[in-house]
Amino acid sequence: MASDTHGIQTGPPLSSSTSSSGARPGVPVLSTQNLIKNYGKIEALKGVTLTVNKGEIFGLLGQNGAGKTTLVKIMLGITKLSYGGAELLDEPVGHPQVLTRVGYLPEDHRFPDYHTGYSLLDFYGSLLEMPRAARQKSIPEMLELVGLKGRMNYKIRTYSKGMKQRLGIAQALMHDPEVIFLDEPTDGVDPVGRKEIRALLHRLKDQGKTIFINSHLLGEVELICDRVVIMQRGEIIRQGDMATLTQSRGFYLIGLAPRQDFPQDDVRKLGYNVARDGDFWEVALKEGQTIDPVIDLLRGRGLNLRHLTEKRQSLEDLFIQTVEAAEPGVDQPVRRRRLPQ
Amino acid sequence: MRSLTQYVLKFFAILKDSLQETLDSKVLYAMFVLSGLAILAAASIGFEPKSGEKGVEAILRRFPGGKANPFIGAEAPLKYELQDFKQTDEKKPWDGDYRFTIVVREQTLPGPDGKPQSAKGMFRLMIYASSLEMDEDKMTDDDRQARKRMIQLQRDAARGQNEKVEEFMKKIEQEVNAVTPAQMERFISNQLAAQGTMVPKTVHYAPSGSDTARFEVETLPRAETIRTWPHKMTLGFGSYTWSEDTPIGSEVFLIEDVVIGGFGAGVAMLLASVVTSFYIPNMLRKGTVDLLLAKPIPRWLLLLYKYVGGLLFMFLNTIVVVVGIWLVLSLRSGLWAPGFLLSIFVLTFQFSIFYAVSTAVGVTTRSPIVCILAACFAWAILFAVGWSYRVVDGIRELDLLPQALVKTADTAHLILPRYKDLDVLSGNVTARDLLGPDSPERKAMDKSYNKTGWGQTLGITIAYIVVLLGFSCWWFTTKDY
Repeated sequence: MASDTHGIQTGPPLSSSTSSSGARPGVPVLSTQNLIKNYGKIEALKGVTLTVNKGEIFGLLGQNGAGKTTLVKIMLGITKLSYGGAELLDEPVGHPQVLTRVGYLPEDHRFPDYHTGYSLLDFYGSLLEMPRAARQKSIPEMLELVGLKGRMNYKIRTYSKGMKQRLGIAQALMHDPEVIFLDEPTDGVDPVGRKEIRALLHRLKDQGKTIFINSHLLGEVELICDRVVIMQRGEIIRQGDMATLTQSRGFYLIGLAPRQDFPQDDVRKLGYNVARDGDFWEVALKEGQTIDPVIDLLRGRGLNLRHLTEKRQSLEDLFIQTVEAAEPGVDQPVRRRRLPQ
Repeated sequence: MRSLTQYVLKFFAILKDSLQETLDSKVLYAMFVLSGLAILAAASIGFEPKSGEKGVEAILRRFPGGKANPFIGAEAPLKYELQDFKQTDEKKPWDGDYRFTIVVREQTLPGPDGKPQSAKGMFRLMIYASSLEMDEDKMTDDDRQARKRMIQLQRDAARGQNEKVEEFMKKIEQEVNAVTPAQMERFISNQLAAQGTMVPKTVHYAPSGSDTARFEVETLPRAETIRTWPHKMTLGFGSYTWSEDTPIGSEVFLIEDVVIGGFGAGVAMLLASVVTSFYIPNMLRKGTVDLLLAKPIPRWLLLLYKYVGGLLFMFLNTIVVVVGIWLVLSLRSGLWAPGFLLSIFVLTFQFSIFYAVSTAVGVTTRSPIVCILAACFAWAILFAVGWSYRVVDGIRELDLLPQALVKTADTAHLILPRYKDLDVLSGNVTARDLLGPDSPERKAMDKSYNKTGWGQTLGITIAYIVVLLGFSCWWFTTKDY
């Protein structure tokens, strides 16, 4: 990243209002009913039904070709649905007035590189019906927020990929939208920048914004989203809130002080399954068991417990488990054939 | 209903975006430089009026038969001599009242066998021939009949019916010999009006030798006399003499209509087609179009605004070059021809045809190269059809071409946009300001103009543009991106 740019700010001055509609959390701002999209004989979406509530950070996961981007484009009126229904902010999708209340960062966006950062936002702001005074106030603030103020009068062609991504976020937020669609928002952004974007999204959520994220970076999604949907081949195959989806599976990781041996045989005698996991020991609970007898055993032996965590299922685990349980992804058969036997 | 103001603001936002795209490509600057050079070249043109006597002498040399044809090595068969010249006032040469004598001498020239051959009877032949080319409303019944016979003669000659031709030539000879002094005086009067835009106050035929005719003449000026007044024209700030005694209006017309309106317009059309061919495909690139379609503006309006942005590019260029050249030529020549400024709109309108083609191809293929090829192809087709139609129409009366060819040219001209007709229309408007009202060029242009008509030309051309843009908007609106 260029030296004259700054990181994304995590404090003010982001935005003014929380919501112009005054809707409460739990109120749906986006919903689809049995949404179907066909491209000729190809069914890109096969009856997708989902609801996103106000104030949520909602993640849309899926392999390539799962239909995530198609779904977002339908919500924005860029692609037309074939059958079913979809509403955004209480209006049918594509309604022009609604689009003034929506921010969008597409995947693989390509800004006209004859613009400067400032002139691009000014152009998009004009199309979004922002008054000139509002643009003049908002654009420098937004560019400062994403760390591009120092480069705002440079042509976009001189920006790095990460800077373009930051600019994309700025254009999605500049008009203080109620709903924000972000397709791969951290694509090309360095780890520090990603952390800043996460913080920014949390602040937007605190302000009551609804955020819809498409991403392949499951770790990012896990850290940001309240709720996720996993799609495969145009269908929702799993959905739920993050806490439920990544709940405990009854595994604990235990670590002892250096040079102390874990009494694995004795723990097994108590009826637990034990396995080594690096420097730790993984203890699996069966139905009705708790970890307390194991801890009592270790203390009774005078061993010093240095590490004890309940092992939760990561989103990545869940994703892989879910998509493999469902039909394989589009590239899988080819990939398998190429693997050495 | 969204407020009109919002649509206007979005329109200007897209125009500004198109302008930024154009400025970024640097081609606009290149075109401005080219325009600047063209304006500089025009500014280097100088005009120097001939004195009264020299001017009238030069006007007489324009009379039929008075000028040698260097292209075929033929010397002038007639010599129109100026004698007893007198300017009866003290005004500028083209505003002068004149009294003079014209002596017409039939020359002795080398014949096909190299031996001297008299051009006896040539003056009467010229009078007879010119009577056939007069305006219909100025013709006598005899003139009309003679004209019909001449057309038949041309047809027979073209079909190789030599017997009829020989028989007719004898009749012509009789008619030529029967030319009266009144017809001679009418001829001189008409020529003074046509070639010099002078008002012949009196023209008296005075009999002299068998190969000589004398006319005592008095003339008055007209407001338009300057247009045909002989001027010396120089290029490169006087470093090169282009012509010695040509009508200044014709020279300015040549520059404005032929050089700028013809050649320059063709180059501008090509360059503008190349530059603007990128507008629509660039807008439709994946990752770019998504951002625009997610904005609260109808797709068809977005496309139309982008289209107008392309036209603006041509319009700006045309304004620079046309206004610049018009201004410097007007200052240098003293002839102010505001009609030429109409070509700003005509050229932009002509470009709107090709840009509509480019837009339709752009939304369907998203390829700038295909857009350029399509626009150039459309230009070539319309140019060829327009030019062919003019040729066919010009010799229609002679009935020489196969009917199938004539019908094809007529049909193609009828159903396609009238690109070349627009040239005729704008050329005529310029000609009205620059050419002598009775000059042969002006009459030819008027004839072509009267056949054309703005209504049908604009109607059919606009219909094409509407259909092409309608298709483009429909495609863009119904397509998934």
